[in-house]
Amino acid sequence: MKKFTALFAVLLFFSACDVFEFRGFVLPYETVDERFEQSMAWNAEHPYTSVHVPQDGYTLFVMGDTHTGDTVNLNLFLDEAAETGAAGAVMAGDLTTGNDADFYTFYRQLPPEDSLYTFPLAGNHDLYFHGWEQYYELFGSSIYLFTVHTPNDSDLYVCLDSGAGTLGRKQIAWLKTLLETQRPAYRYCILFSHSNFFRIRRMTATNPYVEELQLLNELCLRHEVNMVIAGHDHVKNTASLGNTEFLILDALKDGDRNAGYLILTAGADTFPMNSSTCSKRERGVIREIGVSFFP
Amino acid sequence: MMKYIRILCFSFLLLLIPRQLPAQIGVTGHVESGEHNASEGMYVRAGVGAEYRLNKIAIHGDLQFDIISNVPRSFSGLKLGLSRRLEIREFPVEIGAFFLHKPYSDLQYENNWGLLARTDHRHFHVMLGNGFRAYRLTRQAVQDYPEDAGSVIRENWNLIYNIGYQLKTEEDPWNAGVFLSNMDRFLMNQETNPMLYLRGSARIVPDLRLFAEACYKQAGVFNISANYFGFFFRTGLRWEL
Repeated sequence: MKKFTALFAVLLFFSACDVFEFRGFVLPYETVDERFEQSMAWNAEHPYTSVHVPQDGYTLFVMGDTHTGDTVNLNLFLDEAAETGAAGAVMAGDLTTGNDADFYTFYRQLPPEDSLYTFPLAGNHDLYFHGWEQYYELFGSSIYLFTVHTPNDSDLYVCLDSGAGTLGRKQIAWLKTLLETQRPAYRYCILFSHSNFFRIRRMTATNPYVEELQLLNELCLRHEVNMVIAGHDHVKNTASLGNTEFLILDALKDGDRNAGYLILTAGADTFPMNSSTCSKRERGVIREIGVSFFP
Repeated sequence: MMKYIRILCFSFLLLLIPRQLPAQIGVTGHVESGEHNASEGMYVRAGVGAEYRLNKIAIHGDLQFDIISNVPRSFSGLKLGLSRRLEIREFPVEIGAFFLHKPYSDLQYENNWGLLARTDHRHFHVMLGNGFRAYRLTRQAVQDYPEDAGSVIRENWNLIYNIGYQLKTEEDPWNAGVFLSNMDRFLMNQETNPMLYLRGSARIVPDLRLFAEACYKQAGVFNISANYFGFFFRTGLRWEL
């Protein structure tokens, strides 16, 4: 009886937790297919962003897992992106804990669109506590694309909703059609996902099912996706299969010992992606990771 | 070099097999139908397997073929295994190793191998192990995409588990049970993607058993906002020769 009382007390304690939401661990508030439908409805009314840059080279800032609350690292990221004239800032999910207040805190930090384009993704934590309602209200679609156009080339960036541990059948079909029909028109193609595809190291983070990864791997190879960038695991890592480089980001969360973000540099050359081009610099509380993927 | 090491290992294993005891042979055939988020509709598969057991040692091999699926080839799985029964302080344990080859595309395939330990205690069934996975490119892919940077991604030290409870014991004419596992006949999932099984079997005639199972797959359980992923039904026959 004592064991059951202790177990009940532990469950009661965690049921009041505002970081982990145990219902979300087994039952969703809404399915990824429902979010897909809502996202497509949003996309129909809000055309995809096309960023035009005046020169052939440009940078794109990418981060994940801020888990706002605190916003010190988030502001460093956004400030540097805006100051350096980045083409945009991609935020690869787990932006918040899913609580209402955190969504508004996060949203208030974002700069106006005329100073920096921002591209948020939904992560699993953003969906806890019915977080999708706030996400949709503030950011709109969680499944979309954007393009960057230089004087001579155009690059395709696809933002995916993987907060459910699966892209869902509708999103997979959408992605497949997109890659088949639109990928050939672009120089580089990069997918952003919150959940990391591969377990490159031992981890407790949940990934898409193997059967889904098999299909996604094949799509990436067949359609020459250059890179898949994800967060979720909080520890940076890289691996490559065929012509696709799979990157996992460090978390940007305040207080994280290895907090960091990624600076993608797109150049005019062909694509000799090499993770050995990573360089690191120290600045204040945050370790930045500068990566020139397109030298 | 690797070829000779394999021959040596296999020869060594053959030496372990006692020669004077009667052998048991089991043959299994099954069909499976289901769907999941990446299957692009319903799929139908068939599998055949054979097991050769001599005293405490068993060797088994299984093949899987896709009849209806979005996989561009019919041969879709090969599994080879070796196991040995032990008694550790009178506690029965079966240890084993497996190799699983999954050609899921013309361009890529998966190789998995792992070590397993299993015990059955009347109604309870527990299997634990560790698996290693490698996603690889086929020769065709290497030819088609010569500028490829990498030809393999490895996922090492993947925990394998299969935990279940059955209403009856193995000797009874029928049985039914519920299982939680991340390992299926031709699939080694990540440990964070458990599959829930309902299994039943019945002896039709001596040495011939009919089995059926239903599996429910939920994506993202435990640290993701969980969603439905897929299901399948499987039925087949096992014949003990």
